Amino acid sequence: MQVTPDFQACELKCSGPYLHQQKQHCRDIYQTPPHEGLVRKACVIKASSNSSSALNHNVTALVSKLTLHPQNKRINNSISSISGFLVEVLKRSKSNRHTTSLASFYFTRLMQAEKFDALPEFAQCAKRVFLICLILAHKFLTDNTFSAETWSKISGLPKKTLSDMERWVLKKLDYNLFVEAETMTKWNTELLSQTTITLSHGLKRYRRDEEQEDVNLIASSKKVKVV
Amino acid sequence: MSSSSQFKQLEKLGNGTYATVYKGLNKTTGVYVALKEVKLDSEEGTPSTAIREISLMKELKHDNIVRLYDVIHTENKLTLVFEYMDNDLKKYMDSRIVGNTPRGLELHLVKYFQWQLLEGLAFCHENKILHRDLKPQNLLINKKGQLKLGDFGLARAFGIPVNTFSSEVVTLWYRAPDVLMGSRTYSTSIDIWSCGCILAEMITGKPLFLGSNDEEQLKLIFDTMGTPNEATWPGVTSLPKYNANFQQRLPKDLKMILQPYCESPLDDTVIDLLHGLLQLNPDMRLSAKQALHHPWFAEYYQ
Repeated sequence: MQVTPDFQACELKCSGPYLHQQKQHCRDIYQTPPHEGLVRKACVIKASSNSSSALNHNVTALVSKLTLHPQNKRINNSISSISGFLVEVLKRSKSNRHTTSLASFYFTRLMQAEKFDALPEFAQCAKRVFLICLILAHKFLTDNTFSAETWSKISGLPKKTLSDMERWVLKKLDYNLFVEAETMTKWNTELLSQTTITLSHGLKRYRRDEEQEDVNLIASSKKVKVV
Repeated sequence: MSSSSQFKQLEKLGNGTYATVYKGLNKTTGVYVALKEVKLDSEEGTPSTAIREISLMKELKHDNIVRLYDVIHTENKLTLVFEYMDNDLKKYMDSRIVGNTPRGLELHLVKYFQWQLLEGLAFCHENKILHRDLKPQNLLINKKGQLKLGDFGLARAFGIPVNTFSSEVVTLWYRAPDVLMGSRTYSTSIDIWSCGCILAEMITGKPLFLGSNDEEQLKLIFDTMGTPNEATWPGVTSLPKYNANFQQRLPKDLKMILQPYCESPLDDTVIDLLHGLLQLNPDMRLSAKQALHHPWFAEYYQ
């Protein structure tokens, strides 16, 4: 798989620590979520009784777990880094839980099919790949789906990037978007029952990540001042 | 994964819902294929129609469903490589028109085609897939008399909970009355109505309900099948586009309507099957499986 320069150019924008840099020289009209104000708020994950936020949390934890890789220093796939993005993208695209759940199914299948190191860099970014899985879940489940323009507004990524990544993900999934009802029911149960296990596990990691994130934020805000 | 250089593009076969179809030759194997080409805008992403058609047809491996062999996906073009079929049912029926007079197919052929149509459809429904665009153009046939379902551009899965269904499905003449009245909760019965329309069309050589808009289509259906009411179809008055001022009609005798266009005498069993497929109330329509067990097909399953 060839990586177009475009992929790499956009790579940094969607990683947490680079958000502040992005603001500095943002050429895109639409900003990659989470945008200012949401960053702090969105990072607070509560295991509330609300099933949609429990689902969102579990999906975030899962997505992070599958992509957190020690050797991967440029891309931050920690829960704290991706949670705001995921929650915001799910909200903006008005995704219901079936769509969210199907997207997480595609995501898992994709990440399990390939060694993480073997993935091109753009595909190591959990946010991007999840976003594409979400687009595909929408296209598969909904009769009237959003245009590329809308997805671009929702995600803050250029249409061409979305289109190229979509083609890549489709090939990786071998176009197998059809999931049998039984498989999906099982998946939903697993996803929701993960609450206790992954939640505690994830939260521990989350706290560590948050410290890390704070360091990053301080570092980048310092940089901003220097500039 | 093939590359497009592997295929020699031959004559154009037609336009699908969102693509152009060419005859092609696999240069390596010497086998003819149908190449369905979708032009892509590098910024627009892959159309959901293509995404559904590919992902659903990959699942459906059946003698009465056109086989999808391969997908060639580049930045500017998406090519689906399908099994080649000689003709489609619409072109075949058109070729039989003498002067201006349509001619139905021989009844034994009608039966064989209808059987295969229902076999293919039953397989789709078993796999929790709705076709949603059954019509003679989308039924492909070959010289062996085989019939296969094609063009799954409007198809969708219904096993996993789906988001709202669109009522903008199925070409008008083959669209079920519940869908015409705005129902979004349709299921497999939507395809069964189309099968009924196709069966009548094969018998007479002309479409059964030739409406030019939604209202006229409903009117033509009610003229023949009778106007539904709460007694014959509980819930009909709550459908979004139900109109209390629909003209009240009584059901007509289908045999009387079809017989003038058919050279051989129609027996009552085929009319009974038609009634089973063309029930106004979607809950009363036969399933594809049930239809296959109808006495008209006795010679195939006995």
